[in-house]
Amino acid sequence: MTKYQLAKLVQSIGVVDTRKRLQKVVYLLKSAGCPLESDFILHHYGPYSHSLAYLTDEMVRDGILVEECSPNATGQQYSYELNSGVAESLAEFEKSKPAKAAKEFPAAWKAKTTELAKADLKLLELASTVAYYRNSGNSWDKAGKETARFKEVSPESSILTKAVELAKGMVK
Amino acid sequence: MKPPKIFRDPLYNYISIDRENDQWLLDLLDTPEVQRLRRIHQLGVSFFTYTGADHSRLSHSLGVLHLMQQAVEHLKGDSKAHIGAARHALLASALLHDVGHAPFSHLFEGPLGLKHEQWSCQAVLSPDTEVNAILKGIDADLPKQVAELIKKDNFNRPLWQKNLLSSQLDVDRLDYLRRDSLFTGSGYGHFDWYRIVHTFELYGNPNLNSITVWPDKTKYSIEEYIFARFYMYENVYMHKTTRGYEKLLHAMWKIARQMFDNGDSKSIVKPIKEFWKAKDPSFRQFEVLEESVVLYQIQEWQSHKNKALADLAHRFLNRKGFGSVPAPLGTNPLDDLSEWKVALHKLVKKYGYSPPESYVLTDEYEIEIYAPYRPEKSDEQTPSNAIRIVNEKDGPQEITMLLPRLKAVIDKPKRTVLYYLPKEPKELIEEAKKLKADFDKPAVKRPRRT
Repeated sequence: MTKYQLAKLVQSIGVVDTRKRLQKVVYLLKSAGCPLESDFILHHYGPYSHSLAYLTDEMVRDGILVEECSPNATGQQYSYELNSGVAESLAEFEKSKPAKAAKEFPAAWKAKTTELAKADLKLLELASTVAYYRNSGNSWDKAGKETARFKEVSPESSILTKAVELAKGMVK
Repeated sequence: MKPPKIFRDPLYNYISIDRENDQWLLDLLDTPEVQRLRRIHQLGVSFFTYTGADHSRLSHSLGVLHLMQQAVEHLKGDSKAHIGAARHALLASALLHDVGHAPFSHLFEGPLGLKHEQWSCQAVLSPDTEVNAILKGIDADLPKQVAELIKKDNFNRPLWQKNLLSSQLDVDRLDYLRRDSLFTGSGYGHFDWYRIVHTFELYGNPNLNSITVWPDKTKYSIEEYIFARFYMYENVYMHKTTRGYEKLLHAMWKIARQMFDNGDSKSIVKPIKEFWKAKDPSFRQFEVLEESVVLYQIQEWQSHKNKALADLAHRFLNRKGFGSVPAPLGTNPLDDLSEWKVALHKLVKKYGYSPPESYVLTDEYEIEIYAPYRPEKSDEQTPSNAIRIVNEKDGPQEITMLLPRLKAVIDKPKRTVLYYLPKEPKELIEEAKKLKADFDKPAVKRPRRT
């Protein structure tokens, strides 16, 4: 995943409220065919990309993203938005390399990005895990069951049913 | 009573395996799959930089087994561990975790598409390997248990078992850091490993996912370990000379693979040709890919009609590597430097090097692998990926919360990108450095850190 792609994604969302959401949104967009290259592994909270986590930190260090830390029920949570000066860099990039910009983050993905950014976080966690199991070669039924086992939720729960539906709408 | 089998080892002095109870481990060690590790360099091509770095994956695997034996013994008194059922799987996975390594260890994971974890699992699960037969002789389910422990994204085994074999503080890292330090002669990598292996505990509900944690008294040993990792990464694993030879090897194999894909396989030696030809290669086809095969292949390429391939092969065998130039800041902070790469391609072409993509080699290392320690942000942190210190009052705490000075080294891994180019003539690198200065000038104001 490139710096431009992550900056564009964050700009589309405005404020990304948690790192977990960022990870799951990127995984689901990637599963749907958005050209975001990142290697994901299965982690405690579902699909997780070390390289995306590093890129996020690197862009904070470079002053492209602004990170805010706030307490939550389990410790701290981190939110991200674009540094105010970066809109100019984005505009310059899109002006000087329009084809590259359009290829890296096609405008068609903006609506899906904002839709996922508003989804319930637990639902995103489950849906991305279902998508991960599906992308690993399992049937939808098996992907749902594996997610239920891994995330310790009831296979009949309504949130898992919704998660499978969300994943079905995303995985190509 | 049979005496134990004793191995001399430069790190631990003696490694001992109990013949009475663990003859099966010695049988595993004697399999062709494990013996093959004698012929795989533990540190890839680091011997170009450190002449002593000739130690093998086998000595490391034996060292990991030795540490796992100690960890298992230590856990015998812990009722949460149910060690009886897990002992075989833990010891076997320690010995076999690297059995699927390709020539020069991690180096061929990219060019030949060989993920060692995947091939290690194949060695364990494939019914035609001796490793599989020995494991099945102990317990029909043992191959599956071992593969589940080796495979990083498999969560079927208890978390504490995964922690011991593969986490940010595991027996694998405890061995290779000290072993690599010793054989390179670099002098880094010293820490109190014995305290780390002999003081950990299991925390949490044993029926769910208990994790490995350390008592407060071990925190400084762990701090030393993280610093040791930092020094080793900075000085050994990411050494720019070594990385340059890795890139040279990658460029060579990229040309060869392209030739093969275009139907020209005459100059490819049989084991590699058959591996590439197979849609779904077997472990038998994999295991014959040895360093001797790769080196013979490179030797043959020195007289290949493809001039770039012949030149790169000659350079690799005779230690005539490329020079390096760091990446410029770029005209835009969001840029991926594509124009800079085009400029470098033009430059090498001007000096007669063709095709330019074989002579401008980008080294953008995967920092997620080469970080000394990564305490994930707390809203993504997981028990399996943090080093935790426990005390009665606060429960487990991630170590940098207790030792904030560690942040000085864990914040360090910034993406360092180097571009490798031929050093001849010397004007080439000088011109590249001048070009870099042009690309360091920003077209838009760089954002300020807030």
